[in-house]
Amino acid sequence: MVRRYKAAKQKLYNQNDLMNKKIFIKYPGGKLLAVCITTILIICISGCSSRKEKPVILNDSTIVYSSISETGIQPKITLSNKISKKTGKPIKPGWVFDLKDHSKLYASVDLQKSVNERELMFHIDWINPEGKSFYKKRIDISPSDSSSRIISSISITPEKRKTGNYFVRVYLFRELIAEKKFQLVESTKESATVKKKSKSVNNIKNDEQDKKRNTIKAEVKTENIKATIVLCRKVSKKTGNPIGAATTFTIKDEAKVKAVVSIEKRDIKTNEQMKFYFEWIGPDGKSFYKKRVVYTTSNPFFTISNSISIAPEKRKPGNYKVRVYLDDQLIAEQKFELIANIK
Amino acid sequence: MNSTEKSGNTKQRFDFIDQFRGFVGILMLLGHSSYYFNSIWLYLDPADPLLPNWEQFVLRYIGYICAPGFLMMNGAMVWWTYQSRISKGSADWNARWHLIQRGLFLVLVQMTWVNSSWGGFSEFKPAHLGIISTIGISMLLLTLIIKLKWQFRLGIALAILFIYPFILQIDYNSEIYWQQVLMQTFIDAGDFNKYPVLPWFALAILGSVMATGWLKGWKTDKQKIIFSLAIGVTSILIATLIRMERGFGNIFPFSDFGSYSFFLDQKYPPSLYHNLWFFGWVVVGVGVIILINKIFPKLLNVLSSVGRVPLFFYCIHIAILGIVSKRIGLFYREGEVIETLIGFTIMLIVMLPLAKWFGGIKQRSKNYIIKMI
Repeated sequence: MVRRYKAAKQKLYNQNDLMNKKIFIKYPGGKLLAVCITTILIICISGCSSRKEKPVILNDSTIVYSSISETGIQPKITLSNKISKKTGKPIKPGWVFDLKDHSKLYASVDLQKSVNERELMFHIDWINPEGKSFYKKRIDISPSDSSSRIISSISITPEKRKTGNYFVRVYLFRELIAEKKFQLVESTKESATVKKKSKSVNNIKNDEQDKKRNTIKAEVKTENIKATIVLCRKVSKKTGNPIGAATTFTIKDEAKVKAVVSIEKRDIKTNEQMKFYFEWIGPDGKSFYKKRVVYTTSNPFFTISNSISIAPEKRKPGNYKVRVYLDDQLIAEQKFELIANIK
Repeated sequence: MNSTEKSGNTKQRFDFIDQFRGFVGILMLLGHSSYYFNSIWLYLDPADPLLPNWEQFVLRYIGYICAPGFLMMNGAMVWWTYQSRISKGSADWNARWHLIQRGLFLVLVQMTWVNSSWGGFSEFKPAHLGIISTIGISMLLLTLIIKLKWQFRLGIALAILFIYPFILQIDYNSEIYWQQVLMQTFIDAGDFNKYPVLPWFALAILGSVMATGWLKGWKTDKQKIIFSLAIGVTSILIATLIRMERGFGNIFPFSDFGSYSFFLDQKYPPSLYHNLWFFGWVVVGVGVIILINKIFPKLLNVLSSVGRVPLFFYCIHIAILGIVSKRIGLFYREGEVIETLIGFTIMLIVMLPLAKWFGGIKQRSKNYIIKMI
């Protein structure tokens, strides 16, 4: 009786198993459908990107995601305050720009393209220090258009923009193909103007004094360093960009405030060693933490950083400051606020 | 037969419908986790998406199936509920009235709970619509044609889909409030409503058409699988042809077949390509779920617990994310793909038991509101 039951049960299992197998074997066209779906899925998963994953950094610091295809577009982004009306080329390109009234910033993208068979859709997207897009422009280039440069511009007046690290990104058919970092800094109008001394017969006696003055002029240190502080919670390990940039932070366990200082020093020497220090000042106006940073580089554009803990046992709510000095000379200052964590 | 009939309870459930809704619900949770935890949303404009890499593309695109999936499943269940009530002797108007009440309830839920939950209830924002209200209004409209034969319903849906690209060209001034409300409720996408009713209603009708086969016409699982895969793949192929032709039915241009831009045609409001493409994938998805159930009968049970309470799952997970991430500020748009996946996993751990718990309550309760959720 038991044996017969087991045999019947086994038969049932075999039938079920066979039925499951028959799903694939017996269904007319089932294999064809499976092939169709698999093909579509493979295309969906693998064939999307037309760009290499690892970017290339050009000499002008444009980050380019190269095309997989040899004939693909290899863009180059140039930033400038002006564009030549004659040639359409950017004048005095750079990556640090002053916030000024009536001032504009142009992003010129040289496409270095081969002949396009159909319309190309580009987007130029401008990203502010908080990582938010504040202006986006779509540019379509038709095959008949001989232009190999696309341009987008933004206003960089102090009313519209604030200082910090910005990005401009270029997309082709919604895919990121290039990006470039730039800085907006407060306008520095310190120019070492030397009053012209008219030389006359009557003033011959003062020649010696003039020589002295000229000697003093040569020794005057011109403002040749620009520094911008961006405060954030942390820095992306992948991109090096600040994450959670703000000027108000909540006091929390294990929370930190990081000061990322972008520096431009135009007259830098080869392997110049610079001694910076960070000074963090509390609501009582007293310095509570100092950190010395020795930095050696030949690059006129570089970044240094320093952070403090803002755990409840260490900090109180209030207005704080961070100052950055180079050789005891203040080069940047940023205020920020710490607020209590309300649960 | 992929359905369960509880003893003592006359409500029949279709496991594959619940499981597909559950699957779509979980994808939606992934998309919403990205919305709250992923820093791409600092600059991503959903109406005109630009994507930095394929990981972010997949994360964004995976959520595109959610709205068509929910609209179609809703259409299917509207059809089934009406048929079921009529077959049990309910009067025609009573059967429709039940659906109208549910449609109105969804509009109310959108304007009260859902709109405010996105920001963690920091402010009450009843003055706009969204996906839930669009499902609700589609239900209301579907009750008008639910009695028609599937061929007529199919004709109406296709007519809407093919005429819609022309209707979309109607000019209006979004600065004038009544024009904005009228146009964005039904035709165009904008600040007032990202999901205009007309194109999504067409998908709800198509869901009701498919239900005629899934829930009644096709008697065996074999038939359901074959017809689903055949219809789905056909629709995907037609959508591909429309896309490759680059003219009618397309809104955004694309570079090559299989590129990001090929898949990313306009979603707000959807193009003809978008609707046919995702209709196809939803139908294929249902067919695949029936097939998986045949081979591994218990594998997808976890999806059922979500799919049985889709509105609860939607309302609660957005509220939790809104409060914890946006209002309290916990990792709000600070991470990238990995952080999104971690957030999604934690949310899944929280939401699955909640969905199962509420499913039990809903099954036992006779409370009018709980039955509606």
